Amino acid sequence: MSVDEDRMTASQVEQWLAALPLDELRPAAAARIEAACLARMRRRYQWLPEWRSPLLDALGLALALLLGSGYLLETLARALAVYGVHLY
Amino acid sequence: MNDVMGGEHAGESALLERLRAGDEAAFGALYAEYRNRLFSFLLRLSGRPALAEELCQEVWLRLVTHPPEPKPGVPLGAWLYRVARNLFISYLRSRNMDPTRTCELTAIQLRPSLQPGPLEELAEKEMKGILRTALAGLPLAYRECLLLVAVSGLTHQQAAEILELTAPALRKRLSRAREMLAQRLARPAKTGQEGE
Repeated sequence: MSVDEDRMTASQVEQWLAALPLDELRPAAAARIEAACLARMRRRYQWLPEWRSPLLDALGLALALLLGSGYLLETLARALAVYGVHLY
Repeated sequence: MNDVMGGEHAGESALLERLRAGDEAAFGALYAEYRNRLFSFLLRLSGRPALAEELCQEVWLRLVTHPPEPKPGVPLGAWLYRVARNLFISYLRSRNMDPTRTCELTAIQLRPSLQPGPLEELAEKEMKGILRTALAGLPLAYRECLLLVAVSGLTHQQAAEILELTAPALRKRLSRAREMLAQRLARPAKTGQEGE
């Protein structure tokens, strides 16, 4: 086969690939996967509303305390440093 | 098959939003739309139906557990194929298998029932069989490239993101993949003609 013929074939490759029919998932496997996913969704979305709000509130409070105390400590350290420099 | 980028994308985004809110019907619609596409992608990538099913289930479970945010112009397929491809690569690594040599295994798995003869004498079904076998025989890097762009219909940009390549690198690899596949498709015909 010549190089030109090879090139022609290469240009047709995508058309052939696009025309390939899809392989079908076995009905039993498809049903099993769907059932597993729906079960996972039910667990996830039934569990979250009950716990998400208090959990997020607690996390928010902890984060605010950490940031707030960090800010206070930094301010105090700066004040002490300025005062120390002033005394020196 | 290449319609994943069309006007249906807006509807798909809405379905994805509903899925993120826990709507089971939205999951059903997305599942119906993509289940065979995803399975085909994984089957052609791995060459093993049982593994393809297993990975398929993992991808769908990840979708319902951590659904992605809808992005304008990006079909859900891009996310699904990315996760599927990463899972397959992880599977190969977990088995200490070299991804560059999986083509041999894939070709062996898909070879039964395919007895290619001269192209002129082949029926359409046989031609598709040969095409599948030739595709399965490509090295993974080239196979996944063709699967994402030519079979799954993703844009070059989307495929490049999934494969973590630059756009020029993807184009180069895609071009090489087409050439390799064409050569593999041409080989049986050549052999057959020589034998006459």
